[in-house]
Amino acid sequence: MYAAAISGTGGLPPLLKPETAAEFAQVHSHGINIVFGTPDAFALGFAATWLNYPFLSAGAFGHSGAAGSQAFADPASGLAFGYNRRRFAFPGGAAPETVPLARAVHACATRG
Amino acid sequence: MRLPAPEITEHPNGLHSLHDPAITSVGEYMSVTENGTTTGVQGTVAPGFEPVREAFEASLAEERSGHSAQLAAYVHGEQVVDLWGGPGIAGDSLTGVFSSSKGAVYLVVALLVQDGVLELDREVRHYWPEFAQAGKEHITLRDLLSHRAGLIGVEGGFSPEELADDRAIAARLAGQRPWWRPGAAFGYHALVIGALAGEVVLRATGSTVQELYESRIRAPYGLDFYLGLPEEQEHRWLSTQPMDPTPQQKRELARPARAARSACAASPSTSTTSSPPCWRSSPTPAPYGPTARPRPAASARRAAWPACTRRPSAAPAACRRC
Repeated sequence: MYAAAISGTGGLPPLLKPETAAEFAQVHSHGINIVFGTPDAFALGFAATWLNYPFLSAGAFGHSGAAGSQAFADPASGLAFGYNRRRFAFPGGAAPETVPLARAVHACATRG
Repeated sequence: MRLPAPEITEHPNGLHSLHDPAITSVGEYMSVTENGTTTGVQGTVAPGFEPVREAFEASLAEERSGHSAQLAAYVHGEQVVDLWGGPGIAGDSLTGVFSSSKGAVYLVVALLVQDGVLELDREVRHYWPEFAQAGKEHITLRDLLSHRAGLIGVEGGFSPEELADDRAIAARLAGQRPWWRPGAAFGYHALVIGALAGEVVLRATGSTVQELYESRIRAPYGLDFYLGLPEEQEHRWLSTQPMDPTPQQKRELARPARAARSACAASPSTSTTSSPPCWRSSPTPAPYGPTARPRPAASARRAAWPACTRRPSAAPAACRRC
């Protein structure tokens, strides 16, 4: 889905123009999440994914899920990423292993 | 009106790409974890992405037994990673992805903004007149999407039946006074953001988010991620398995700060989704962002997790939204 959003797939054009993706990826809320009482950030609905995966560019946007799923687009590198696990990850939200997995994918995608 | 049969299920690997000639390193990769089970990494990576296979292999091996996962990646629209592994999971298995489904809702909204159908800086009441109550007259669509509206829940909480019906959630929130002055703060509208955005979409277009996702995104691009699983795909569906915490993780979960937020996850009765009916009736069944962390009980959190915090073991419909 995120590949379709920023790049298009199967010969179809991207769903989003770069300026639309940029606006929806822009951080709109940052600071203390009043529900959790902890630091957090949101773009337009989407999570500001690049804050959690610092090797991504600032325009990266996506969302995670409670059991440990994570999907995002990183327009600067053209990368779209999807990870899903069946067993609920501790302690909830994106699973810890997502960071090394995303880092490995990003490194391969951006290597010379 | 009740929304039609939406279930949130994703399989991140695009089936249409399984035979992509660009993916050359086809093969099966079996390995054995320390407790003797096979992780069985299967699938393909494009040349140059072999380290991803190794990283995926390592992640499966590090987990306790019974862990299975799927990993997919595209670069400039071409699939470069299509891997899966662990017991019981196939390349075309479908499982619930909880709040990751919210990304599809926002993608629909982004398309409508791009089309000029929705305007981010328009007040929500322009699309949804009943929303203009109790101090919400000037909340814009931008405020709403950025979790600044303060509409994280309703006084008295939602019933499980309401939580399974986005129109009911939206109708109750239309009458609710925001939990903070809109714009003064932000907080994750975990259980309701899909209902709020969905109501705006429905009022502006006459179509549900699910219908627009299907017609404009999923079907044209052949995506294998559904907002509402078609009956003919149900044989591919796998339940989400309950968390299997280590003894130390159990102690952490028992700490008050963790307990409330993890209540759904830690309780087998609520996180073992042996059947999917609640997902079918709730288009955005999951809160939790990646950076979100819990804290001791607060009125705001009770509003956001009414059913979970009141009766975590008896509210499967709500907990599937976590």
